[in-house]
Amino acid sequence: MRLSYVAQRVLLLFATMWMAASVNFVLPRLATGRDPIRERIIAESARGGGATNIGINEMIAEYRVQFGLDEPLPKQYVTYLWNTLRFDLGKSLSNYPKTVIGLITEALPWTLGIVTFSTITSFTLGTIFGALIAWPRAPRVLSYTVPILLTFSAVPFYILGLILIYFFAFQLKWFPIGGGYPIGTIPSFSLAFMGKLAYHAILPSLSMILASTGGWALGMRGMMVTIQGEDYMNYAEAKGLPDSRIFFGYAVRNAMLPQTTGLALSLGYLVAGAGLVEVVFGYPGIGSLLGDAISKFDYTTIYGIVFFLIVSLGVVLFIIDLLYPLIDPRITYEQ
Amino acid sequence: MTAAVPSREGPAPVLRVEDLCVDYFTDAGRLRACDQVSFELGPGQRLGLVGESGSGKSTMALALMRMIKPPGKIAGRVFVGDDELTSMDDNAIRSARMRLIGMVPQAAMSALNPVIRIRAQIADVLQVHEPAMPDAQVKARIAEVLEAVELRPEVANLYPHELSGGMKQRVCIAIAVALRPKVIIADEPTSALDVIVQRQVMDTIGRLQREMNIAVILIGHDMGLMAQFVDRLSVMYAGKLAEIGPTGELFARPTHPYTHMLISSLPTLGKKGVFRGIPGITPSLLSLPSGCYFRTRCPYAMPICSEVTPAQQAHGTDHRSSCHLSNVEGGLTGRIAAEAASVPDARMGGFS
Amino acid sequence: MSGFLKYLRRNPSLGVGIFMFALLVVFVGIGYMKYDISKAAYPLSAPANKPPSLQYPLGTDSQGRELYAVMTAGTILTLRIGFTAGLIGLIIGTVLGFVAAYFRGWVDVLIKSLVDILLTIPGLLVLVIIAAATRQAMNINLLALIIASLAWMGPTRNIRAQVLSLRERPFLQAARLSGMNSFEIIFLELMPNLLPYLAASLVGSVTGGIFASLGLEALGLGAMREPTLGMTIYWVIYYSALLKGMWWWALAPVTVIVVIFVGLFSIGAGLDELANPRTRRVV
Repeated sequence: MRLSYVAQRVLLLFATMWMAASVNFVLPRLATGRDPIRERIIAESARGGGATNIGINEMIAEYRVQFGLDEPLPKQYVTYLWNTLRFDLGKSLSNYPKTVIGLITEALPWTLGIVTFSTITSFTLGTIFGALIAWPRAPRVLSYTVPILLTFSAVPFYILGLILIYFFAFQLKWFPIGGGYPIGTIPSFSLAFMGKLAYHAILPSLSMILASTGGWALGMRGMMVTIQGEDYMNYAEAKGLPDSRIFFGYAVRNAMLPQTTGLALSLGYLVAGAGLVEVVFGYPGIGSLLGDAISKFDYTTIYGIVFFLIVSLGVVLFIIDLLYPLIDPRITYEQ
Repeated sequence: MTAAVPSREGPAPVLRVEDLCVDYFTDAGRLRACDQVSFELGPGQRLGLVGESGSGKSTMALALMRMIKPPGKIAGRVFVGDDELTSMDDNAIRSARMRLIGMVPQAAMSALNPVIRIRAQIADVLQVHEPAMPDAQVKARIAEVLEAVELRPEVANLYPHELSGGMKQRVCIAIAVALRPKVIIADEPTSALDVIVQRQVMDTIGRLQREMNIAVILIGHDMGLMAQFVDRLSVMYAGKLAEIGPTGELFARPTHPYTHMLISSLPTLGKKGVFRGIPGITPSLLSLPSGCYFRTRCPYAMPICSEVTPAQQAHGTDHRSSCHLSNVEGGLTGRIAAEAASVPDARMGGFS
Repeated sequence: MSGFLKYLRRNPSLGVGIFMFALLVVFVGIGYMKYDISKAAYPLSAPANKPPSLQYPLGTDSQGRELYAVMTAGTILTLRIGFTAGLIGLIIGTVLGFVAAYFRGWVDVLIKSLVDILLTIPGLLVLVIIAAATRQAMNINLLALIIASLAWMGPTRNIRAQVLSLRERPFLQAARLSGMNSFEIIFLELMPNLLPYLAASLVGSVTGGIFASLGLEALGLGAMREPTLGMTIYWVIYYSALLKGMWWWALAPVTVIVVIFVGLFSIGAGLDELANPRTRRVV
């Protein structure tokens, strides 16, 4: 039954959340064994960065209460699970007293913007391109692009980002060197500001698009090659169908199924890659927030971000799974 | 090499194949998968085509529809009615497929596109070949052809995975007859089905081809099925047409040892003896023996067989074969009788 | 040897991959002859911020490291991390995959569900928490171990699928009937059939390992003192090297990383072709 499948899938989502939260709870306690909060706050203040010395005792006191560090471990664990389930991820150590979830909500739109844009663009371009390369009746020139695509797809996004920054931002000065918008401008919903936003988003997006289009194209090409050996392709030809109909209705339509599964499976990779691109470009999204938190030893923020991303990806996968029967009629989730 | 196709009386043939060759050009050299095949097929006639796997049956079927892809190349001529398929341009051959020459595929299980409904898979054939047909008529035709193959019209709304094997094969038959072609090639249409369904599907094909007067080429290796279904039988070996003739005559008086061996490999109720296979394997098309290709497995091979490729010879009207034994007194029949007399044990009740 | 060269002409991917790695070997070899790696690859061993010249072929960075020496050490260290992590991941994955597919039943259910859940979690993010929690003690071997801890799910799933399909082959049925026990069957019958496949998937998991190590290091979670390729990228970002026009600082690691990934990718594609003859001549 469809309903039981949904229930099963919801259960898996909660299992993922529970595992992520538990890892977050257990690891810090395993790694230090002593008082994690005091240790980190002292380490932090010793570096003289981020937080000022003024708030230390307050922070320690608050964290003791919040985590109930005097309570027995099982009780701490239950409290922790309950808090994370409500997305109460605590307060940032380096940006005290800002909450971690507050920082994430500020950074999220940036990341969401470039990740969604680049993923949709590269997936569409790559899929069309890969389908054409594999099509025997497409121009032969296309096949010469395969080695170039291979090279691009083998390189991590942020490495490509470094190359783009040097040539297009530093040497040619066509694009800004980094950031989400020009320093000194005040974010607003005006058209002019939106234009600046787009201008700043081009290079980060481009490094993801360039690097991942090749991957999608190669994946699609592989599927198309496999599908051309299928019986229904021969039969379609025997039916006297025109090439365009065979290409779209038979080859592409069938190759799209594994391609979409591929998209779902690589979301985690895409988000991680996007995070590093943000770090390279100083783009004010979640990746930069994470990089910043790491350099400032802001553990609550690190754990909060990771938990948040794991759960969001879980939710996205959940939605994709529910939508999948729409494109593949063979899957009905019936036992 | 090929003897002239004997002319027959009666209506003009719907399918005429002249010296059809299919060559594959590979790294290892040229490989001839179909070697100067010639035959004719009258309207509404049923021709069987048998041979072991790799004998070139399916290659010939593809060549008849001009679906051989590079590195393969077709030579020779194929006519359906007055249209020469082999000289058509790409658009013309595309519109000839299913309209002039239909096909029931070998792998019905996987021949239907898994992600679109049956309705769309029948409709696309109709729409491509008859673009002017209004939607309402397309819909009516779909219901009509489904009914013709004994399926309910609601089947049109299903996806292939929701059908049984027999139903899928029926859908393929429906597509094959949807445009009432002159010829249908049925490439082992029942090989993936169980015996009872096999029988029902063959009955449907038989009934439809009679009603619509469509000529059928039935490809397979089931001699029993052939004996029941086809009017004429042709036997292929290593890409060549070894023998072709009326089914009854071929079974009663085979003139090629390979035909004879195929027939005697058929278990019948009358035979108490052991099932006899054919010793040896089909030779690789890359290293064919000199002279007659069958001589390496032929129990009656003579010195001439390794030197001269046997030419086709007529045995009465409409019966041809290529074997040197035809020039020996008594022919194949004489040899079989002589052998049976000298070593009766080896024949294991074949003549009981 | 000439037979092998002939094969490479039919399998150009493998050829390109081997060529890429040959380049790396020459590059590293020259570096070893030229430098005392234990010194030149670490800070304050050379004047800072020098562009490439005869004396400093790849230039120096802002902390006074010779970049050629850093690349020599870094290529080896990074490949070592990748191979250690990939190999451990593959070994764990092979064992679990075999166990699941061979014994089936509840063992299979357990392993399969665990793998399915873990595969939906983005690995690099989990590695971030683990690496963050252990960063004070971080060194090359610990980094490799951390990456290995999440590198086994893919291999487990693939090997399981392979063994499940091999299980049903006639030669295994024959082995079972002839009285071989489970372990004999696994090591004498299954393993040899899986070897080419294992080689191809080792390349995959090594690629994943290097990718993860570079990512963690670029985020600042690596062994800060070690001159790996990923740490070099981290310092390039940290010092905004490109914005100061120090292109050589990024050029060296970017080039080596591109060569490594393209090389691994090509070898992987080549081995795939070897392992699955069905797809031969297709790619």
